[in-house]
Amino acid sequence: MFGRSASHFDQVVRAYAAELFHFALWLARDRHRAEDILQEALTRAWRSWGHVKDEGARRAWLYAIVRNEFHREAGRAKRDEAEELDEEALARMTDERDFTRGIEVRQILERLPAPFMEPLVLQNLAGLSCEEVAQVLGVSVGAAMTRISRARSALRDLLRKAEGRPAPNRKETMP
Amino acid sequence: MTELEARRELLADPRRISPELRAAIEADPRLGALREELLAADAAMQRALTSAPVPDGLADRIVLRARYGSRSRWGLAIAATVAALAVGIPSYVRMHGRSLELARDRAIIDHVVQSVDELKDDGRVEPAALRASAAQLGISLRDPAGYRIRHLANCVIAGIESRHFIIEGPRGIVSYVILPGARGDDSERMLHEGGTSGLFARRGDLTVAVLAQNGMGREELESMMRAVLA
Repeated sequence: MFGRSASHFDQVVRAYAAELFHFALWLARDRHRAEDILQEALTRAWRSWGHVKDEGARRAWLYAIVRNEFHREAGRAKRDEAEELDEEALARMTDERDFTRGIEVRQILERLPAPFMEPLVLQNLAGLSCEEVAQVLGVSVGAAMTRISRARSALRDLLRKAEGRPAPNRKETMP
Repeated sequence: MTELEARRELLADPRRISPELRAAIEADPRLGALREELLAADAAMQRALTSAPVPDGLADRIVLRARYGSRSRWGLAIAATVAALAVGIPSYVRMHGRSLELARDRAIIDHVVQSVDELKDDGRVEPAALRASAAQLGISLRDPAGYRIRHLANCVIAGIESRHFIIEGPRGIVSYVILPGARGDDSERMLHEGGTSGLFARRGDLTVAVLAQNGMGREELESMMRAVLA
């Protein structure tokens, strides 16, 4: 509907630049890299701006481009295959004894495995539905829901530990 | 819905809940407590993710680079070093400023050319409304005799909220753009794109532009600028 409208691009960039920057920052863990990734990603987005026919899908499309640019820039396109669904790593992380009371949420987010956390970050930061998260990641809806559930459960456990509360019985929360 | 199914749905997305899940939560306080805890964890996560400040002018730089091929941050840094070595930092600063001005001027003429919807006649816009809108940016307008205002809008151009208004009179349809952002004293220029010509100049801390599609030359555009912009 908007085609390759310059003013529409300006408006969308202005609306989403901050949240896309925070997503790029979470991916790259470095402010300068995050800005470079975001600039390159949106330059690519502008080149194919008119390809998005459903304006409701624009936000998820932008997140997918930022994510792809991060992997392209880092030369880590195969990262998912290498780390995908390493449940044991996630379990080890949440059982670590050095997660002591007072640990900050930011530190927890940095330590949890990215393949699990990424869909949760997308849902949380962008407000995407499970279906949209699945589209961004290029996985099935069921796979996206599984990762989100695992990540949210681990986050909950670690936040409880950080606050000095007992972790819930795993059977209570883990389907 | 079983308790296990309810927990599974809550862990997948505690914000979007189905009518069945809502009924299950109302029937079981433990599910309600779980949802509250998950929402609190999500809120803490969101605060942590968004706590880093966003770089100043990020949206401007993205728009300029995407649409006008501005150089990357590293490219600019290298260019700055080379320019400083070759001709000194003051010259570089002046050149870079002019490059940014040119990019913004191109963004303005692009906006006017591509925003064809804005050429539609909105009906009568009161001159007082236009003057008040321009005054918000710190610029005074005259009422040009024999012209009426077709359109007035706040438009984002090069990532900056600007004013775009269109008047129609004996000399045809003329667009004006007021964009916050200082430029050099000697930076007045003409640009042409397709059948549109634009004159760009400085008014205090603003860039002002007058554009027309009817073959107006520089003298006529200057006249139209003087007629409207005090």
